[in-house]
This record gives sequence, structure tokens and C-alpha cells, in this order.
Amino acid sequence: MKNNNEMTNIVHESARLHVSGEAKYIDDIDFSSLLHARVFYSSYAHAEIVSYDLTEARKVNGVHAVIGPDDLPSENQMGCIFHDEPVLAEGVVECVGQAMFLIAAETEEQCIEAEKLIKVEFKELDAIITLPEAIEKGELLQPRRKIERGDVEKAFKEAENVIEGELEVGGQEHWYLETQVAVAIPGEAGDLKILSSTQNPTEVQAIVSEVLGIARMQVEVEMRRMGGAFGGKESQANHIAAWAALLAAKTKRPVKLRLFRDDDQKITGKRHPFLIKYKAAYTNEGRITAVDFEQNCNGGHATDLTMSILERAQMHADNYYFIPNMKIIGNAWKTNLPSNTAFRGFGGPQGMAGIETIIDRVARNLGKDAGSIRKINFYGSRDRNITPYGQKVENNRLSRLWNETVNISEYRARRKQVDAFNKKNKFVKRGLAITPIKFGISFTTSFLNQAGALVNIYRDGSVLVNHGGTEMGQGLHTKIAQIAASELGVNYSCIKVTATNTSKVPNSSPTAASSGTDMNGMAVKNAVEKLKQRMASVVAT
Amino acid sequence: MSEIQFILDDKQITVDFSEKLYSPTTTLLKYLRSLKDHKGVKEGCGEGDCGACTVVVAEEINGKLMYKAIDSCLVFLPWVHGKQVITVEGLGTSANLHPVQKAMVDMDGSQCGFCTPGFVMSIFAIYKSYKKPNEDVIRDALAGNLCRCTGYRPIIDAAKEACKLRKPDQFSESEKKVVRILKGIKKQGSVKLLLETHKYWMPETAEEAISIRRKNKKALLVSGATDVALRVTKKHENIPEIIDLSFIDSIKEIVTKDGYIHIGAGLSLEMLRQEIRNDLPALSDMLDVFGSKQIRSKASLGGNIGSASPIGDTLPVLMAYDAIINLQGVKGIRSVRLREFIKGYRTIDMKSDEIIAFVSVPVPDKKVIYKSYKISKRTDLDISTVSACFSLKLKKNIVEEFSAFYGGMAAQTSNAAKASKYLLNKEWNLENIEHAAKLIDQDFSPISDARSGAEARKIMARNLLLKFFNNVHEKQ
Ligand SMILES: Cc1cc2nc3c(=O)[nH]c(=O)nc-3n(C[C@H](O)[C@H](O)[C@H](O)COP(=O)(O)OP(=O)(O)OC[C@H]3O[C@@H](n4cnc5c(N)ncnc54)[C@H](O)[C@@H]3O)c2cc1C
Ligand code: FES
Ligand code: FES
Repeated sequence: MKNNNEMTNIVHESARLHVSGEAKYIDDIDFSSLLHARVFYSSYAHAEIVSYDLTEARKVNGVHAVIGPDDLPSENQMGCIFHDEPVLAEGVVECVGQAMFLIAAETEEQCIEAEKLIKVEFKELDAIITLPEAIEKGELLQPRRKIERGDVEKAFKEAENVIEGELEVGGQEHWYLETQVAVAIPGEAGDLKILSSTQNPTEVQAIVSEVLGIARMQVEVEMRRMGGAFGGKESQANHIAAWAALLAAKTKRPVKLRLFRDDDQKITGKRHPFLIKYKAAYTNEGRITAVDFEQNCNGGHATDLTMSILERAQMHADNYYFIPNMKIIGNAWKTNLPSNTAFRGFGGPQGMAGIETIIDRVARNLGKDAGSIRKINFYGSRDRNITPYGQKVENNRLSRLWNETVNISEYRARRKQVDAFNKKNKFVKRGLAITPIKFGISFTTSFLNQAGALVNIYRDGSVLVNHGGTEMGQGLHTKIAQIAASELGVNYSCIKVTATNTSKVPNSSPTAASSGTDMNGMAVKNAVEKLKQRMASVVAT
Repeated sequence: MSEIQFILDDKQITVDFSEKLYSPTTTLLKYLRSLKDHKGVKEGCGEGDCGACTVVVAEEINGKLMYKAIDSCLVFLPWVHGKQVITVEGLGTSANLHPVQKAMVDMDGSQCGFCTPGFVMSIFAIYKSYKKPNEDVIRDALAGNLCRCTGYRPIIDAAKEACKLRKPDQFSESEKKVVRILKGIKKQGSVKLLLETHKYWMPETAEEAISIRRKNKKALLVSGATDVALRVTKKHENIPEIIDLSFIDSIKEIVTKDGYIHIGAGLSLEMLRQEIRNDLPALSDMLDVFGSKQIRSKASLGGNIGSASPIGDTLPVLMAYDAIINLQGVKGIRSVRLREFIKGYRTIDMKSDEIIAFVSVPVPDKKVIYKSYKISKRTDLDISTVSACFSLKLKKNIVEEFSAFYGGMAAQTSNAAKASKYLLNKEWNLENIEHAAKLIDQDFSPISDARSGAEARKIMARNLLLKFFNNVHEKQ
């Protein structure tokens, strides 16, 4: 490791560019002969498309293409894992915001003018929006998931206390400051270069190639930096890129699709709302002996990443507590909303909210501080240390963390103050909570837990590093540069980390699951080790 | 005439609209981003909610420059005529950072960086306007900027740090020159942009505005444009004729005379907020949670009244104070009580040759208690779900005067008439208040919309009355 101070006191690699406005985001790059694109989308949650007419729109001055589902060169499918999401709605629309037609024109204004001239006749159908509606009369997106351990029914029969209830967890809009954007630039022989604000360049490459019916080697995807993502650009940037690519392939011109904020909010999915039904058994001391969860999540009209999110919610339903008897059912409901998607925590927060609600109710019922109820239910170190999904909780440091946090925060003293305040005040109340979190780092689809790196050492000693991760503000490139510098034993300033590019590091995993630094950092470390060995053998001769 | 002139950072610029590159309703944001070297300014929303598009505008006032941060996405380009627009590029480069930029780097104020230029500009406006801003000033000035990554603490730290190291910068050096140029532009008189497709008038007197209005009945009045600009940026409407009142200095004054506080309709809400803090506290309390500093610096009182929105935040307050609207027309001034001026949902009692010139608020009787409330999903930069302003005069704990004007409860701001009538001459006690609160249910039948359900609105309206009771109680 180099000079310690140099390594720890490092600002974000783009900080000076951010503050001076010099950092380039995709929309900041000028292209010659660029066309602008716009998505015409459904204004109905559920409707039959009786007929449509694009002729007037196509006639607008400056308009180069208006594409409908009949004009697609390949399959009308862009779902990333399950193939259930059309590129453009055909015959029926299943949510407000579902893409129906694509427009490319010289200016954004011309796109809007053309959009106003598209005529569609809809026949409105019944729509399912909320979870209660879906549970009553809806359908599941994919088969139900179940995790079960012990005998829940027996535990309820023998229980000292039982509670039942429901918890609603609402959705959430990502509101990445930079809305979804992609530029597709046609090359020679049908090749395409895509600049995409995506957490997953490899998947953009895959979906673009599928939608166009060309090989992945013909599609190069590049990502320098995103203006925030938060999961919202893990799978849904694919769509924007695919739409831009279709228009670029059609017009043979570079095409930029940048969603206006309103359109982004309507078109793209959000955090999954959950309706969690629970039943729990607990002793008079507050030990939880059994929990039966039914997690219902609102998946929207297509599967997208819903199943992985739901499974993560199920695998976080225990949070940090050992519950001997546990059943966790997971239902992903199809509704007439944009397909809900990854969002920080990826189902984890929703899953944990369920058990924390139970803890809170147990504490209230027993008239105890919720912190104390949490504590007696912690996973143990020697026993009580197997999760409902069969994983052993190893290196459990929670007790120490907990005690330190309680002490440092002066939790007990604060608790007294809060109680005293609440006794005195009728209208304004205060609250206090201390909550542990056990969160699974890495992908549950385990083959995704891999990464690649390309490290170029030039003869002047400067080093260019590429890896499969993407920079969205989290400082990944800064950390990667630190790793490269420290592994190489050179100054941080000798390292440059450049745009993520599918032709430099292929088949990468999305930058998600709190794994970006660990995986890509190890790939860089591995690459550097190999280079060092090679250099050592040269030096030795 | 088809040109406007302004200073962009340090360059004098002329935009000639007859070249058709831009239209008079092109936003400043769009204009800047169309330039090769001004991509630092960002679009996050196009509606004044995120501050990513923040730039600083310097205006010449009495030979000095006044700096204020505004949202460039809500500015029609002609508005910058005779002003200096300062962008993040004008502050410094990555190799030569301005103290504000440097502080943002040093305090780790950026993550994804997309919001950063906007924050830099908001901090720069504080840097230029305050010698030693306290934390409240900083928070208030940053409430109009959204960051989804960093968390605000490091950004607030950066603002503190920058202001600590405050020293003259390149803008202090060029101030004299800029003042001279801006004065020169102003001297050339009022601007009319008369184009094939659009007409945009920028009169300098109320009389001029009225005469243009009389001859061009379809022209839309615009003051701060924070309401009107959304019709262009969000609804993609074309507005062919605009009379921009923001160049009329005479309607930006505030004077107290003959028992009234006369407020120019063109006065920005931010200036108003500073000026009336002591005299009309219920109004300044409301303005504290009105939009953001960027919005308030541009939005006018006339525009808030002219919008006549059922959730226009100044309306319940001005109605409680029983303000008078003074309209200037061809025949002179006509005065109407605000309580009667609002005729219904977004409709006002204004004739086609009139403009709102000034608003007269009776200097409040010291014995009357006024208090305003706003309920919204978040404190800053949000639209009211329900708002209210109460006035109360007690004599020996008997209610002598009472009014309860609510916003968000009906198609227009109005008094809870039954509740108010009930309380008159009654004892000011909890029992009577609770009874009056129940009557509010009969006074209003609110709607359910994205912001709230009707039932929740009713609860809020009742509880606000109870809150007022408690607040009065606490004071006594
Ligand atoms: C992000 C954001 C936040 C906002 N927050 C709030 C808020 O918290 N509370 C709130 O009440 N509003 C809010 N608004 C709405 C708006 O900013 C206010 O209504 C503001 O006061 C409008 O003033 P303006 O000068 O910008 O009006 P403009 O947009 O210029 O005009 C609005 C209307 O008034 C008319 N008008 C303007 N001046 C005159 C005049 N002198 N005589 C006659 N008619 C005139 C115009 O013709 C137009 O119909 C917000 C808007 C945005 C974009
Ligand atoms: S772009 Fe968000 S405030 Fe202007
Ligand atoms: S740094 Fe990403 S939004 Fe502020």
C-alpha cells in the first residue's frame, strides 16, 4: 500500500468535473446529424387497441420515422429474464405509460408535433391497480415461491400469544436526477454503438441485439457515468436503448432518446409495493416462536426483475432474528402498472419491514421497549444460527455491534427523555428505535457473482483500467483506481478508470447487489497480479 | 424589433429571434444547453422542482448588482434582457475552481454530480449576497435543490466552508463594467419582439402595458412566469402573444401609507417575504414554505393572485387580512376586495384592459391574531394539500371577530362561513372550537385527488382549527 494519507483522503474521481459542469453525461454530448426521439405511450391502464393511424404523424416536417409494432425487424420482446414484455404494445395496452409507437425527428418539438397527430382508438378494459384488487381477482406473474422451516401450525397451537395483521409497504419513484437516456449511433454493416445511462451495459447489448435481430458482437455499449440510478437503470435502461436503436437502425442516423421527467415517471417502473399478511406466535417474554408470512408484491404488467426482488424479500423476512418455525409465501401479482423494478434494497427493505412490524407489536403488547424484544430474538453464534433458507449465520458480530450502538447513542437515556416528553405533550410526540439489519450482499442468481477487468499499462507508466462495473455516483471508479494503485504500488494519479464498455470487458454483471466494488475490485486485483507476474519475469531475465 | 441583449458570464450576447433558432418562449435552460460550452446546467424536471437548472442572475439596482438564483427551466429567454446570467462555467474550470466549487470538492458534496452545478449556483448566490450566512439562510437557499445521492449534510458544509473563505472574485472585479453595460442596455428603452409567429412585449410602465393589452386582447400577461412557463414546458402549448410585466419597476414597490401596506403586484415573493416579516407575520410565515428560493425570487404576488388557484398560498392569508386588489386600466385604478375578486376556479374579476397593479393590506389591528398554516407532503417546495389562515379578536375571551380562510378545500379559497358564524360572540374554549370544527364539514365538500382524499382534507381542516386554538392558547 502506498502512502496511507494519499490513499484515504481521495475525493470522487469526477468531483472537480462535477463542480465545474465539465463532467459529461450522455445528453451533454453533441453529435452531428443527430435525431431526437420520443415515445408515444398508452394513456389507459388497460385497453384494447382497436385501430391506429400514423400517416399524419409521418408527414410532419422534420420527422424521419414513426415506428409501430408492425415495423419491428425482429421479435416484439424486450423482457430481460422472462420474455413477457413487448417492445411496443400490440393489440392491447396493459398500463399507462406502455410504449406504443416511436418517433424520430430533427427536433424534440417536431417529435411532439407528430405525437399529437397519432390517432389511436382504444376500447377500455377493466384494470387492476392495487394489491387487494389483484389478490381478489388477478393473476400471478410467475408461480408462487415458498420458504418453509419447522412446523408453523403446531407452533401456533402451542403458542402463549398469537398476533395477526397486515402491513402495506408503498411504492417509490427512483427520481434519479438524470432521466433515462440513450444515444444509438449506426456504424458500418449494421453495427451499432450505444451510449446508455445504464447499470447493466451487457444487458443493454443483449436486448438491443435481440430486438434488432443482430449478433451481440455488432453492438457496443458504453457508459461513462450516470446521473443517479438507484436500481431504476438496472433493467429499464434496456428499453430506452432498444427504442433508440430501433429508430437509429431505421433512419441510419444517430438517435437520442431522453425521457422528459413526466414521461420517465409514467413509463418506468418503481419500487414494488407490498401487502404483507402475517401471523406470529410469541412467548410472554417476547421470544418469537413462529411466523407465517404471505408477501404479496405488485409486479406491474410484466415480470422484469420482480421474481428476484420477491425472493430477496422472502430471504430478508427473518431480518436478524432466529425464528424456529417460519413459512414465507411470495406472490408476484400482475397489475396494470408499469413493470415495477429494482430499487435500493431490492425487496430487502420490504421483507424486513414485515418482521419489524411484528416485533413492534409484540413490544407494545408486552409493554416493553422494542429494542429489548429485538435483542432476545437475535441469531445466536453457536446455536439458533440457521436461517429459514438453510444458510448458517457465520461470524455473527451483532451482539457487540448492538451493545456498542446502544452505549454510544445513549439509547437508554434517550428512551427516558422520549417517554417523559410524550407524557408531557398531548399533540407532538417523539419516537426512538434501534434496529439491526442483516442484508445479503451479492446476487442470489449466483452465476452473476463474477466480474472482469482490463488493465492496460503503458510504457510511460500510466495505467488505464476498465472493468465491468458502472459509475452512478457511488464512487466505484474512485475505489477501483485506489485498488489498482495500491496493488501496483504506484501513485493514485497514475491510474485512470474509463467508461465501461462491452467491447473491453464483455459479459459483465449489472452494477447492483452491493457488489460492485468487491467483484470488480477483485477482477482488477487479479488482472494486476497477472501483469505483475509477467513484469517480474521480464525483470528477472 | 427582434433582439434582446444580455451578458452571459462575461460575454455580451445578442439573441436575434428573427433568425428562428429560438422563440420567445424558449426557456433559458434550453437556450443554454443548445450552446456548445454551457452543458453544465442540467434539466432534472423542467418544472422548478429540482434546481438542477439553477443559474444566477445579476440585476443592476441603483448602480449595484443583486445576485439571485433562479430555475432556468422556468425562464422565457427574453426575460434575461438587460441582465447578467452566470452559469457554472462562468464560475471556474476544473483546473481553476471558484471558492464555491472548491468547497464542494473538499467537503465531498457530489456523488453522481448531476445536481451539483445547480447546488454550486445556489451556494454562489448566497456567497455573493450574504457576508456571514447562518445555517438557516443556507438551508433556506438550498431547499430548491434536490439531491438524490449525497445527502445534504456535506453540501450544507460546503456552503458554510465557501462562505467562510469569502473574498472578492472575478465578478466583484467586473461589477463596474457589468453595471455600465446593463445600464446601457436599459437605456435603449422597452423591447417589443414582433415576429411572424410570436409577439413578446416587455413594457416598462403600467400605462404602456395597458395600452398594449387594449390593442392585443389575446396576449397573455406574464409576471414571474413560474406558473405560465409550465404550460410550455409541461403541456407543450404554444403561447403566441405575451406581455411580460416584469420590466415595470413601478409595480415592484412596497409602501405603507394611510393605514395600508401597498404591495406592488410585480414584487417578487422573496422580496415581499423579507419586507413584511414584522408587519404581516402570517404572510411571511406562509412565504417561508412557498416554493423555493429560486421560485420566490422570480414569482410575483400578482401572479399568485392572477392564477386564482384554489391552492394559491397567499390567498387565504391575504383574504384573512382583507386585502384590496387595485387594478389599473385605461380608466385608472379600480379597487376590489380580494374576497370578492376571486370569482371561482381560476377566475378573477379583471377586465380585458386591466392589470393587477398593487395590493393594499390594511395595517393589522394589534389586537387581532393572524396565523397561517400549510399542510403539504413535505415542508419545502411542495404544493398545499390544505392551507388556512385564521384571524381572531378576543375581548375577555369572547370572540369578537373571527375568520377561517381555507385553500385546497373547494374550487376557490374561501371562508369556513358556518364555523366562523358559530364562533362569533362565543367563549373561546375547546368545547366551542370542537363544535365549530365539526361545522367545517358543512362548509366544504373537498375533492379527492393525487395529493389527498376528501375525507383526509376534512380532517386536516378541522385539525388546523384545533391547532390554531392550541397555538393561541400557548401564547396567552
Ligand atoms: C416549483 C414550483 C413551486 C411552486 N410552489 C408554490 C407554492 O408553494 N404556493 C403557491 O401558491 N404557488 C406555488 N407555485 C405556483 C406559482 O409559482 C405561483 O402561483 C406564483 O405566485 C405565480 O407568480 P408568477 O409571477 O410567476 O406568475 P405568472 O406565471 O407570471 O402568472 C400567473 C398568472 O397570473 C397572471 N398574472 C401575472 N401577473 C399579473 C398581473 N400583474 N395582473 C394580472 N394578472 C397577472 C398571468 O396572466 C397568469 O395567468 C409554484 C410553482 C412552481 C413551478
Ligand atoms: S430542471 Fe428541475 S428545476 Fe429546472
Ligand atoms: S449527487 Fe446525484 S443527485 Fe446529487
